[in-house]
Amino acid sequence: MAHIKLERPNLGFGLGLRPDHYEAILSDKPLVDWFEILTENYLVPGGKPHYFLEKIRENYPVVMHGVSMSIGSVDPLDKDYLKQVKLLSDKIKPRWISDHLCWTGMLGKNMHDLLPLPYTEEAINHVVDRIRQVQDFLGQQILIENVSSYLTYQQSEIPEWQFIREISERADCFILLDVNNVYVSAINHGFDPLDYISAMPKDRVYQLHLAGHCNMGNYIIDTHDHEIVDPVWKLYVDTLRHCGDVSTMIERDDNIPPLEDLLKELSRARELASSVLDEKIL
Amino acid sequence: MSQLFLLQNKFQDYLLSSQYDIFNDIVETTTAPINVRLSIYSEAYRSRLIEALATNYPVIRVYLGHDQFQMLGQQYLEKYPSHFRSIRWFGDCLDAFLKECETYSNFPYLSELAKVEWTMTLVFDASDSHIITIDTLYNIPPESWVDMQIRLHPSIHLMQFKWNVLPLWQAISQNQAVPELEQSESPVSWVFWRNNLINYYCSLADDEARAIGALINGYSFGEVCELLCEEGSEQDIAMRAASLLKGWILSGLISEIKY
Ligand SMILES: [Fe+2]
Repeated sequence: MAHIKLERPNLGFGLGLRPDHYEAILSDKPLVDWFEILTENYLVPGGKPHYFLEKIRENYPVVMHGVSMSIGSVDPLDKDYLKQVKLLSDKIKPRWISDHLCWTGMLGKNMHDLLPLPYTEEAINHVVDRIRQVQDFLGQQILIENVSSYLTYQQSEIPEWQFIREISERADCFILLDVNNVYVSAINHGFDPLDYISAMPKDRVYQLHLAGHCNMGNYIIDTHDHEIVDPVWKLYVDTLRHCGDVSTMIERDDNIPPLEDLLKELSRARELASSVLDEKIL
Repeated sequence: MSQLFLLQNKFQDYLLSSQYDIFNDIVETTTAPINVRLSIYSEAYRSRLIEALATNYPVIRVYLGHDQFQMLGQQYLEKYPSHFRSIRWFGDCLDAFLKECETYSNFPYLSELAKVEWTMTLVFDASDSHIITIDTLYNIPPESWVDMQIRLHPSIHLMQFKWNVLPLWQAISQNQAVPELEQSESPVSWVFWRNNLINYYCSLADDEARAIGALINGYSFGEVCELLCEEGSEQDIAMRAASLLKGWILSGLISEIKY
């Protein structure tokens, strides 16, 4: 399939759509530019999830973010899952569809976790081939997200940033760069997060994730249950300096605060982004 | 077999059954030993799935308490690991598991309570459908009543329970005193459905349960009346059937009447 490259769209500043906030979003119409939905939450026949999604969709652009495409698994691609994703996408018309650069299970089982891949030529070829199949099936380019990881495989031959870069270029897909995951993995594996950021093919980075995590002392766990920490904000600024203006959103999956708290965090992202933009003008 | 297959297989075996073959594939570091790094994944796996089970079974979670539920979750996960894309469906066999697992065999009502909770989740996100109003019924010509086909709302589930698990479910979910557990002589039928995004349930008299069961199986209204015929005069039956139908429409159980 030939892909036509358009200029990177900028959706502005978004939030992850969580059921806890459904009512508040409908009644307060908060100043959020867009919402990212968790694809799997809406792969159900009907009821509340679809009701609220449709209402919210009337007022906001959305993107779809999945957790179980399992693009790196050795199992065959799950056609039934992809069909459901396509049906949902036909219905709600998201600006784009993303999932993670990982595997979630094999031999028909699902661990429901974003498990790391070895950074090898074999894995690159495997994933590139599958992303192409998915893009052909969905009729659009997808975004793949870097996951946080807690271990390194002996097999890995190249750094993670080279792995994701190679894959995005060879598969001709886009990148959802999770700035918090870069930071978490940098601490866990002892690399410089700036090496990662500066290796990103900037035109392919279509979206950024910001999130909080849990610092365990010797290592960090990517829990999405805290506020964003200062070093991640700093890395966000570095990311914008490298990539330019990119659609940004905050992910919060646990210990979910009232919407206002997330809106405050989102305004911080706006302020930082506009200060980076000012630097460029000066 | 590819390197990638072998690696993933070893990693998954570690998560599923704590097999350490993956150990030699992980780089040793000074900051955190391999077993600590691996255990981040195994703990996340267990806690995520047990949490998902608690989301689908909030009342059982409260009834058993944290520690007992963790144990149940752990045992269930070992027997029925997820093969679903969406974690929403994890826990579909909990009622069967509670029946077959020796630990719980002395508490037969738990399996019924699990069935109640799972049904509630199915009702919650079942397909949407329009429901008819009572006017629809008045517009049907009398000669069409016998053959008319009544389509139920897709969220409807018909269940039978021996134990008073619905009062138990209600008490726990509303944080009230738990009723004494009782077993009835013959199973009681209950219907579950959704109206305006809210889940409802209601116990049924035997004839009403039979009638709804017949509609689920695609019987026409006339055939439903015949089923009711076993108990009463023809005129009584017609009255009873018509009043049941009105009640179902008013409760939002009926999506369509074709005639
Ligand atoms: Fe993320």
